[in-house]
Amino acid sequence: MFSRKHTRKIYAVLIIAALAFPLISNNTYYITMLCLAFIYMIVAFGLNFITGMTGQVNLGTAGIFCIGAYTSALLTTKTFISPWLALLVVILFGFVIGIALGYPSLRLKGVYLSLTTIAFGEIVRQLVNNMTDFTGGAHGVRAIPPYCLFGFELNTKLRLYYFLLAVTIMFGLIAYRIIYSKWGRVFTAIRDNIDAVDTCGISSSKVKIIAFTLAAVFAAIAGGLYAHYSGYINPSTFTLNLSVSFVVMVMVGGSGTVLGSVLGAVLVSILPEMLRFLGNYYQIVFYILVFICTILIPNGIVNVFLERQKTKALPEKN
Amino acid sequence: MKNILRVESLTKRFGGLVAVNDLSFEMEARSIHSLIGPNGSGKTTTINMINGTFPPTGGRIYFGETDITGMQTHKISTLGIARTFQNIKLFSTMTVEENLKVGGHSRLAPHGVVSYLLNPVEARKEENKLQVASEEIIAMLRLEDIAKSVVASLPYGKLKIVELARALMSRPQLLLLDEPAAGLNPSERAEFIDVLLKVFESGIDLFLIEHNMDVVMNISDKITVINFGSKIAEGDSASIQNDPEVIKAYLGEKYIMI
Amino acid sequence: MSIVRVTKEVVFLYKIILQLLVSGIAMGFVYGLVGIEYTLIWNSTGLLNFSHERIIMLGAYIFAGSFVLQTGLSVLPAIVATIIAIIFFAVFVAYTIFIPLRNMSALCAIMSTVMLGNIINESVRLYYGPEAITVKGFLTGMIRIGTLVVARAYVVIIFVALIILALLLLFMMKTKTGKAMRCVAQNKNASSLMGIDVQKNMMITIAISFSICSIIGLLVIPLYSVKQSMASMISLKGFAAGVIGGFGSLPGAIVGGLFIGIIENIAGMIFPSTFKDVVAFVCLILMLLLRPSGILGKKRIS
Repeated sequence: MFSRKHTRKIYAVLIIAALAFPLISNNTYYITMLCLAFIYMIVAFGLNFITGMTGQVNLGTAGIFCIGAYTSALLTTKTFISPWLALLVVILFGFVIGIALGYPSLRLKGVYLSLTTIAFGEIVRQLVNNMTDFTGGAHGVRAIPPYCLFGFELNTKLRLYYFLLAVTIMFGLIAYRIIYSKWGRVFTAIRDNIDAVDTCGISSSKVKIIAFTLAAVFAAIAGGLYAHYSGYINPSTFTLNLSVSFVVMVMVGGSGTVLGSVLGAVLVSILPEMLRFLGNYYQIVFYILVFICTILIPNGIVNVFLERQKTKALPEKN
Repeated sequence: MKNILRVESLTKRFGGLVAVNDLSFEMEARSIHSLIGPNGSGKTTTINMINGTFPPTGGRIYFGETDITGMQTHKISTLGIARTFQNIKLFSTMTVEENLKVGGHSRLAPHGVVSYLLNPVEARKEENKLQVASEEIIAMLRLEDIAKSVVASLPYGKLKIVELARALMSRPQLLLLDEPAAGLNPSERAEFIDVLLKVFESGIDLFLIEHNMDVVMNISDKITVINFGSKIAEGDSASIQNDPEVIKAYLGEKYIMI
Repeated sequence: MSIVRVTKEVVFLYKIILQLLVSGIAMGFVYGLVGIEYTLIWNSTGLLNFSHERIIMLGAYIFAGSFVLQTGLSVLPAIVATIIAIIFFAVFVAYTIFIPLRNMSALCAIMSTVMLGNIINESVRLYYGPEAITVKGFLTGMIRIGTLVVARAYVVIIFVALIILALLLLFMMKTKTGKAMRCVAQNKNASSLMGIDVQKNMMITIAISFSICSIIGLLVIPLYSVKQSMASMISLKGFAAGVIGGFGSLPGAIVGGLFIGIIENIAGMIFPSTFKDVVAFVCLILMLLLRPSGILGKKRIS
């Protein structure tokens, strides 16, 4: 069992390990995997607000991630603006989607968010796939330029690794500040007892929309990073399965904590690779493991070790 | 006397069932007003309409001079009406202190999430204000020993007080209490009444729903009795205790003494 | 001369619209059945069954892969065998997963059904292989009704859907079990106090729901052939149908399904057909904005 003070030490150890990793290992495969895990972490940090903390299941993250990636990719390849400028547009898009999708589904109580976000993800995938003239259809977008930082092009694996690590740490800090603030409290309060939140003078639907919009902005930014990291995107990446993976990261890692999202993102991006020795069976074994985790430790791995979750939430039945 | 709450011909129908029927009453400022009646007489429905849980089918509700009929719950709360629930609604995975801080969120920490991130100084100030306010109320209700405990681990009697404390964090003018004594044993009940009186003295008017007679009779300035959604009697505790309609509603026809 | 040509064109257009309407209604019934199938489980257990896509697919695979191709049964016995197999599977899933899960948080419940779906999907891939299976001659061909020529599959879908609906209505209204199911949907605690075995009831509901899934799977074989992604679109549109018709309402599911089926077919005539699949989801989001309780939905009493 460890407390919040201990977790700070764990973060420090993790950051040092991540900084030192390329120096110790020059296995580019693992470095590539970790780059992807960093991008997923940013998505998970955001998703944690809406799914991990307020308990609303968002199954459309892949759609938002997709819009982030395509916006940045198309802006930089078609209008040749700087990826940084494109990033601003991506943030704006994330914000708009968050509100436009959050408003219809979150002012209602119930499971509407899961359904509308699935629908949204599907709309995005269909449109990207079918608007061939604009998005390149199934062929995707090629030759997306990398980010430039102080005159350096981030085009080598190592530069990308440290760049993504820095961005991830930044978003981790933002997420950490929000989680341990009045906002974190209110998000958790919504999961615990939504009626009581309203009686406290807080509009629960507004708070849910805030949490969802934060998630959307994080996912859109991560999508932008993904486009410039991989240099090539196509619609087959952004499926419902990806959305589900994001939720799995938050859930299995540990909902409501930054550490949980970090662990979840690393597990989901690396575990299937480690199970490759099972050959044809690796995927089903992975799904079964996740299924068991969902049922046995619904609050996630990290929370098993955290002090404050020792008393389990009583299910609210009315 | 000035009214703090005025209810005019309030009606609520659920499908064919009339839960509250043409109910009118006025509550004076600086008073403890109770709404009593047998089980199923429409008490909780009334409080739910005052608090904005659902809109009434007909009639109007005024808080002071403000018409609050059909307003959303969180707006009514920010106007100055707080409430507690019959079956306690707390944030069970959070500590007592955190519960209280959520209670003070809208009054003491109104800044949005972006300004929170961009302005750490203001964020710190807000958190300090919440800390001070919650400590004040924790001291007032003598909850110091459980302030850092997670709510799910506390006994029922304590939860009632914690919920009351959370309601006080919004510094309401009017506090609606839904069956505050339900589920408490006699000693806890006495303790809870003491707490309520202390709250009243601190300047908050109380509106109680009860079917527990000793609580109501001891502390209420005025009592409204309803049965089957309609008002059957109103007055101070002495007159209510002798009202034949009230006795009939509670005990049945044959207990009326002539 | 010109008048004749104009009338010919009008007749032609009229025929096209009629044909679109028939296919729209048929697809509408498919979406409606999907809506019913998940609403039944939702009403009974409070779980949103996200594995239903895979159950529909599983039904088709059991029918085509196991019974028609491997054992060489003819169509009718194969259908019966499929439904029986699915019912056994339903009972197993009900007691091992759905019933124990019903008190978990929405997040866990949703994710575990999603994972169940993934596990089923992978099992099907491992057992039947990744290639699509075709069932020769099953519900294929055209039917001529008057001057109208429509796919036989559509007619069969409408016909079977109506039979299922009639049976379901009879079951819910007339039998003791059906009445108990309606009670459980309204209030589980009260039902169990009245002596209804809630768990057994949930099991029966899940079995009915899964059998409907498998029938949907059979009905859409001629449209999508037997492959792993065969049900992904209809299952999503079925969710949309349920919400558009009124979440939690069985008649609403059918109304919503027909609404989507007809609208998307008409839209397919106006817009490029590649955008046909988007229509249902746009309708869903518009509906939530304008009338969140759905076409038939009432405001719930809390």
